[in-house]
Order: sequence, then structure tokens, then C-alpha cells
Amino acid sequence: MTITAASLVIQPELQALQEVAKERGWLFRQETEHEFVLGLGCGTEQFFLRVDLTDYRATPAAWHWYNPQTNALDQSQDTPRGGTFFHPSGVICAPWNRLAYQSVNPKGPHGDWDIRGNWVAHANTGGTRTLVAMALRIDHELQLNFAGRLA
Amino acid sequence: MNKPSDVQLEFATPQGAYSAAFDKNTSVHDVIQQVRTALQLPSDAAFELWFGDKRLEPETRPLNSFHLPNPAKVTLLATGSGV
Repeated sequence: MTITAASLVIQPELQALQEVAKERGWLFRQETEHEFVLGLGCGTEQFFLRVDLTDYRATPAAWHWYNPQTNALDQSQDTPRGGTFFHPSGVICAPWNRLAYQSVNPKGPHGDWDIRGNWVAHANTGGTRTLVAMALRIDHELQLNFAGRLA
Repeated sequence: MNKPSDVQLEFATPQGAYSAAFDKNTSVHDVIQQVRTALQLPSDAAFELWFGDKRLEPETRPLNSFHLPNPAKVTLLATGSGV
């Protein structure tokens, strides 16, 4: 594999995520240099995310809900609802998710956020600045605020 | 080597997995600070310590007051809001 500036940034974060996934019993599978799949449990439910790291960290990663059987992205039946992060639009609503920006994704709740801005310094990002921190937040929301699937 | 009075905590943190032993009388606040220092977490960010679905608070309380198993798997959760 060619070592690129991007992979030098991404690989340590992916290794950290892999450590935590192993410790927590999450599924973690790196698909390409810029893409991975994460599987999280919630009671008897399972949810999967397919995460696109293109241009990460210059821009936020894109956290798609994913169906590993069909390879479909962002389908209502594969998307949880509940709490403030799992937006009714089906998007994880946080500045660290590229899909929350309406300029990138028509379903993105935020037309007021600038994808060219500094997502790390955004007030709503808080300390959620690494892939592990984001995964821990999503898992936390599933454990505490899950209220069913969108469909 | 851990002392009998130590609590072994196995953290999931924003920087990956981390494990350390703490005296049972250590406050949650001090645990967070020690991990923050050890992992060089951003000084301008806030973190919460969770055991499963239970937040360990108030942070002035010592570890032994939460009756955690030993070792205990805990999460250092970065704050941030969904909107």
C-alpha cells in the first residue's frame, strides 16, 4: 500500500478505533484506505455504519448507516432514531459528520453550517475530534437514547 | 503491581484503549485528569466517565463509592452536542 499524507493521518486513528472495537466487541472492518464498516449492538438490535474518510480531517468523515446484506446506504429500516444525535432526517446530526451539512447532503439538517469551516473547532463538536470519540458517541446514543428504527 | 486498594479501570477513550490502576479513594475528577494527562487529550475539551449506562457523577465522589467491579470497563466520553 502506498503511504500517503492522508494515510499517515488516518491510520493511527483507525488503529485506535480497532483497539476499542475489539475491546467492546464491535465489528470493525477496513474496506479500503478511506473506508471502514463499524457494527454496533443495541440490545437485540444491530446497526452498521459505513464511513467514508475521503479528505478526512480537512473535512469531516461521512457516517452512513449501512446494510451489509444489500450494501445499501442510509435506508430508513437501517437507521436508528432517538435523542438529539439521531435526527429524524436519518442523519447523525453533528459537525463531525459530513452528511449533516446541507451543502453536501440534501438530507443534511444544517444549511447554516459551512463545510469549508473548521469542524474541529465547532462548538457542537466539543471533544469529539477523533474517529474513536465519534464511534463512542454513536454507541453511547444507541445504548441510552435508542427509540426504534426510522421505518 | 496493583495494591489491594486499587481499582483497575479499562478505558475506551477518544485516543483508543487504555488501562490503569487507581487508588479506590481517587475521585472521578482526578481519574479523568490523570487520563487526560497520560493521553495528552485536548485541554480545551470536556470529558465524562461512564460505566455502562451510568455516568460516574458527581465527579467529586471517590471510585469506591460507585461499587464498580474490579477490573471495570469504563468509557471516557467526549462531550459535544447533537442538534
